[in-house]
Amino acid sequence: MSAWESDSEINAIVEHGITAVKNQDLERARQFLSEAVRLDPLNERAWLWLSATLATPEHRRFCLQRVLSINPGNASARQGLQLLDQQSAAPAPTLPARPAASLSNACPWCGAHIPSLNDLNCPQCQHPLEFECPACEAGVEPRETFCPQCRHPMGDFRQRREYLTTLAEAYRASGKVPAAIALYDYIIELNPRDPASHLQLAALHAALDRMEDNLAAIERVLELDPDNVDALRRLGEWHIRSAHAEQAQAIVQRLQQHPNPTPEHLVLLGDLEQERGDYRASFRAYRRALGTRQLTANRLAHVHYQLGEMYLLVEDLRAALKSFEACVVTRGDDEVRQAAQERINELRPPLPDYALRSHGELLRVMAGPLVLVWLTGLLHIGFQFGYITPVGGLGFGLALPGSYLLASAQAAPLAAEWRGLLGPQGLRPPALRAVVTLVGGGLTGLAFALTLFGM
Amino acid sequence: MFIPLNAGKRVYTNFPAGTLFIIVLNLLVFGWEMALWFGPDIEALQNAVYAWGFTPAPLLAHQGARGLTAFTSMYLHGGLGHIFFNLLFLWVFGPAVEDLTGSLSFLLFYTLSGLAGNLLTLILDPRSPIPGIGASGAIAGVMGAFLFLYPGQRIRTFIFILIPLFPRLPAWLLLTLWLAQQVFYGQMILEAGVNFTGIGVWAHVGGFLGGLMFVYLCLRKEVMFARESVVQLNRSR
Repeated sequence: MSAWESDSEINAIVEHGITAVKNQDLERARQFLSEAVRLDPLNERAWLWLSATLATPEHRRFCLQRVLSINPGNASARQGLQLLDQQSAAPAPTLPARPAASLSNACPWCGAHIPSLNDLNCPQCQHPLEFECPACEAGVEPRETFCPQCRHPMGDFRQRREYLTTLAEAYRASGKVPAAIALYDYIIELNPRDPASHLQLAALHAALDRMEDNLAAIERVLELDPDNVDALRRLGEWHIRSAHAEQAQAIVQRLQQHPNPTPEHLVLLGDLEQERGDYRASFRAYRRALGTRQLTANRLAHVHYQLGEMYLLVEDLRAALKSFEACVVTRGDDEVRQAAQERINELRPPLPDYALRSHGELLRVMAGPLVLVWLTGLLHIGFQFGYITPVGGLGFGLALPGSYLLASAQAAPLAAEWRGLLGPQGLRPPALRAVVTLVGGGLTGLAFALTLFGM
Repeated sequence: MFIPLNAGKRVYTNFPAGTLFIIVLNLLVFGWEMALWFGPDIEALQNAVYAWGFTPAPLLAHQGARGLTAFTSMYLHGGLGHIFFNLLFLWVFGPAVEDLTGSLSFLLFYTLSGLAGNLLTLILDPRSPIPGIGASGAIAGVMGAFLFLYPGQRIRTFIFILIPLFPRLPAWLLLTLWLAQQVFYGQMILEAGVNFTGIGVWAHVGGFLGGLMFVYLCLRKEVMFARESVVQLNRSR
């Protein structure tokens, strides 16, 4: 219960509900009382009166049991339960399913509001919102309105598409693909003109390798929405994989001749052309897609990655690197970005922590030995530059390459100059670094000696 | 008077090889000085100090070992108290700085700081015929670097004001006070025209400023290029 929803407000809602019950307006009463038990699950009166608004004995029993769990001495609830027990001894009447509107977003067992369709349990009574009979717990086909075992009415809450879709996705996630297919069949029966459901159904058929059913579902999507990118993608990819050149060509042409292709269409065209091996056409399509500047982050990452792969194929490593780097800096799919990063690492091995990234950093590392030599020389001549001899001047000069080599070997295994000279590995091999250290150290030492003893 | 006693833990290294190397070298040179002192030639030590101490006047006159004395003077000391307190300060501040520079870079940094101390002495008192000796210029550089790297670090300090006290003072306070004291003495010496203290205060100031500057060039590369944050390293202590 929120802090601002005081007891008096909840009591007012309960009173409204009770008044509606007395006026025989059960639908309105259920709405008020469901809201009251949602706000205050321990409201004994609300549960009691809610039981009076429900049609099925199970629902009433649930409410009355809640009343007794809150107050075991509640005589009305006890009487109600006894009455329900007597009725259940008699044959259960066959009740018609309630209209969908009456139970929209409401739990069929307690009537509580269901705020999230992602939960498969009622937030109020925790009853599982699954396709099993609440009375006998038998599994019930989605299209059945009554439990085939006990003839218990299943309630029209199941006709809500969002709920059914969520449940189907839950089935799919848990590997119950046939159950998910049955649900989508039912969803499509309820709303046959929804392309998204057909597309999901197609994916499920594909997961079971039922390619004919898969294609039929995709065709149905394209009948309903001829520009559906996902359907075109799946169809095109399937034709390419199945070596159906003509059909694949037809889809590509359909995309090429589209009067107003969206960025998604262009990406799809690029993907299909790439799959067909026409890299030039694929490249053009991707560039057009990038040119629209309307790609989502995921698509942007995908396009840059694919461009990088194509540049790799034509051995344009610099352009490939650029594309993979562009992919990494997008906010797209982590997996794609990670794959791009791996490509970058292959093309340009990552620098160790101590390695230099720029000439500024190189200068900073050089500065220590360089200042040592130069300052020593300057102190030696007392800053009287007339004392500088050619030998001393040579010492000052040699300090530069010496400190550069020393700095490179110690901290710049992959400085640009070394990469240019030695290839992509630069100065990383330890033996090479040792040689450069010796040469750099020797030159710096010589420079030091010349400035100290040559002037 | 204050004496720092302990300046905290290290992150990278357990063994301050560079600091120990400098301490041992100083002790060896001091042993050589003592050998001269107790030797047959009573002027041998004085001659050695004049020959290898950093003396601006003969340097500018192009006499003696000149630039070489900028290095040798760093390892000469004028007495037991001189070397003891210098090495104590080095032992307190050196390992923490060496931790973030590495041992070889620490030796380079230490030497550069000593040179900076001698340089300021040369600039401010170019006619001085008195040889400057001692590691204090270079050690002042280590203190400057410590201030740069660990300004918030608390240092266990011995202070004697009627009674002995052992407060844990922040580095910025301790080292700034020390620098202010040196500048104050240095100013008095400049005004008096003669170094009545017998201490190379401008070498201290020069070394301190040099340390602040040169440590920037001698840090470990991963710290220098912000691959690792010094601030974070300090916080992790």
